[in-house]
Amino acid sequence: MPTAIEVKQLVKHYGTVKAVDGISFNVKIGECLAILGPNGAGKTTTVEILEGLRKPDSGNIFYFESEVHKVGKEIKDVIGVQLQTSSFMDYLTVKETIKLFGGLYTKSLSPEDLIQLVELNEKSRTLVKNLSGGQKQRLALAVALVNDPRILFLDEPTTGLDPQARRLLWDTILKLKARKKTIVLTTHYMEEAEQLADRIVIIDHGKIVASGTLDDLIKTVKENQFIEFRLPNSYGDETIFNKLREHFPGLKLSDDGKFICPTLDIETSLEKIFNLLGNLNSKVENIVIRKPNLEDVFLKLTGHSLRD
Amino acid sequence: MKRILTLWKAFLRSDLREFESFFWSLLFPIILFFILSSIFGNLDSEAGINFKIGVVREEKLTGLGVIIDEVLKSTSGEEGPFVIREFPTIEEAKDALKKGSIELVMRIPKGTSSKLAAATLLKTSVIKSELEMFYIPGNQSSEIAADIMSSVFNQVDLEIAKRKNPDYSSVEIVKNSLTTEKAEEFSYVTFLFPGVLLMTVLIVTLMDSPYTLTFSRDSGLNRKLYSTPISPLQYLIANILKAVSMNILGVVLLYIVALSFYPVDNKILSLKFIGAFFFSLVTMLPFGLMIASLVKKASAVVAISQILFQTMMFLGGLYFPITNAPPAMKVIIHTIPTTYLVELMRRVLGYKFSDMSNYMLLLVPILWATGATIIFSFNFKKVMAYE
Ligand SMILES: Nc1ncnc2c1ncn2[C@@H]1O[C@H](COP(=O)(O)OP(=O)(O)OP(=O)(O)O)[C@@H](O)[C@H]1O
Ligand SMILES: [Mg+2]
Repeated sequence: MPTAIEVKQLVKHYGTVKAVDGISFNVKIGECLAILGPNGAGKTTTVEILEGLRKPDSGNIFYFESEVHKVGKEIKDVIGVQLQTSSFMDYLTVKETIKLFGGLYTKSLSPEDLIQLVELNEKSRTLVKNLSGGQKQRLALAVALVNDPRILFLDEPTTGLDPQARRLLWDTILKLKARKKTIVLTTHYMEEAEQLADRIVIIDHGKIVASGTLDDLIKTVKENQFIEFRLPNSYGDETIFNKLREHFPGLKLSDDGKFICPTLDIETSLEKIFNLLGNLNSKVENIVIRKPNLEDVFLKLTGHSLRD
Repeated sequence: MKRILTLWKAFLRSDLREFESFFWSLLFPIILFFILSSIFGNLDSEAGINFKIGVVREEKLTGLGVIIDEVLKSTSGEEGPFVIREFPTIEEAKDALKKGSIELVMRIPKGTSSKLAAATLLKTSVIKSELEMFYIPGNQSSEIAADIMSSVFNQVDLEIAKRKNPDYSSVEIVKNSLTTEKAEEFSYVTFLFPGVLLMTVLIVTLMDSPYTLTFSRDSGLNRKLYSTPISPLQYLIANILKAVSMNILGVVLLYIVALSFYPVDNKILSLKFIGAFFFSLVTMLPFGLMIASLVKKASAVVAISQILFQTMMFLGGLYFPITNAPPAMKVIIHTIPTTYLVELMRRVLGYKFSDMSNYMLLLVPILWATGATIIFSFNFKKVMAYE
């Protein structure tokens, strides 16, 4: 597959902060690439460089296999951009907003079709200032699609949305994927990357810590099962945690008091946990056995969790 | 071009829907015009109880002439309708009349006493003593004062006649109308119109334009716009076009109201006057851009714009002629461009309130506009940035 974008050794500082620290990756035409990382990892900076909104300190950018020294009008005309925080004019309606942005590109799609696609039909005559957060995000997506872009950039499209609104937006993005749209998506939700991406680039502190397909990444976690549980009425008891850790060196306690125990042998581990807790006079709640996920990959690679 | 027009249309539409900009740009000027003309346009007739007249005595009255003095005395003071101010020369009195500090000038020329005496003595009506009066036609209080004064002196005539000879009158009142330069009638609404017009310019250029630019930058609208192929310059032009069209809309409404309901001089339709208006708009536009260049935060922009707006409005003499300002204020008055712009528009209508040359009236605003444009150009990137 030909590549839509390739970046080599991208670097960007803000004063002394190294926001992007030598990032290289590529995006194939027709694929959805997710850039996954915690707050401040450098996701927005990376995509804004590609969108022509920021200048990199160094590095090379290739669009459709030819090098671009300055991302200018020609590139902007064929890419679609949904910014992390979109701001439109409060006193235009949904339809007028889409029309306005359509008028700024050489080519534009019909506002009605886009409104249909993002399911804002009932709101097409509503002023932007009266939209809900989820509706605003869907409008932002429609605006990002208005020029029928060859590449679509989505910067944390579902951050701040409730689960239902998030699902709705995912459905739309899946529709776009089905149409083979090239998509670059940033997120700090592992579920989002798992659901939507063909390939994932994990970044932390401006550096790529891992990349590949979901399966590739999960294979890097050698324990193939995880046991999760809680203690009743407790947000994680330090003494119990320390006792258990003597037997399970990989044990982690999450911020919200969940014990996470990676294991290769589920039965032995479970038995051991029950015995140990029994000796400590403690009960177990909400026990779950699951497969490894991206969170585990991230935790393993960086030593800290995706959500700080 | 298509991009600029698209953006311009969207800006304009959004502004017309937003109550604040709709109100300030379109409705407020009309309301202000209504309020000011109601208060100050009618003030003249309501102040009828107390006319201020300026008296110029070119001789000390003696003999029969004393009657004139007595009449003046009895009509002024607590009972009378007049307050008398003495002026040493007719020029000074006329000046005060033009400025509106008195309503009428009464001139007692040299020889009044002796003419009066001769006339009575010779029992002839050939020699007449002439008292001159100056008033401003069209100014209600001035006209009323002149009427009262004439009838008062007709009384005086009768008084003299009764004493001497029932057949002739010896005191004739010569009524002179005094007008501004071009023999125009003074009308407050015509005076006020350029002031309110210039205020609409200030609202758009000082209040709206720098705030819109700063706010769009801070709110993130600029960032979104710059992710499209539009350039900062195209974006700025769309913004300026919007400001200009909002202003024109407001001005058209003001014209319609002023011409339909007020006795505003038709000269406001002259090309020269409309030209002076556009000159004001074009020279004030960079001023707003300069504010946006020098002040970073939107809230600070609002504060600075407000201060400049109020200063330029009141010290510029947009609604009242500014006389007798303290020296420090005089400096400000002579610095701000609105002083010159409003005088420029008023001169086209035939009023002259300051003795600055026409050339200065053009030069000072042009200097401001040039300076402001230079400052803005140096800050162009900063103002039009997206964060
Ligand atoms: N305009 C800026 N000036 C200075 N520092 C900045 C600026 N923008 C970002 N940074 C810093 O650069 C780093 C990377 O920021 P960036 O916005 O790219 O992260 P991100 O991965 O998008 O984070 P988030 O998930 O919170 O959106 C952060 O440490 C941030 O504080
Ligand atoms: Mg971000």
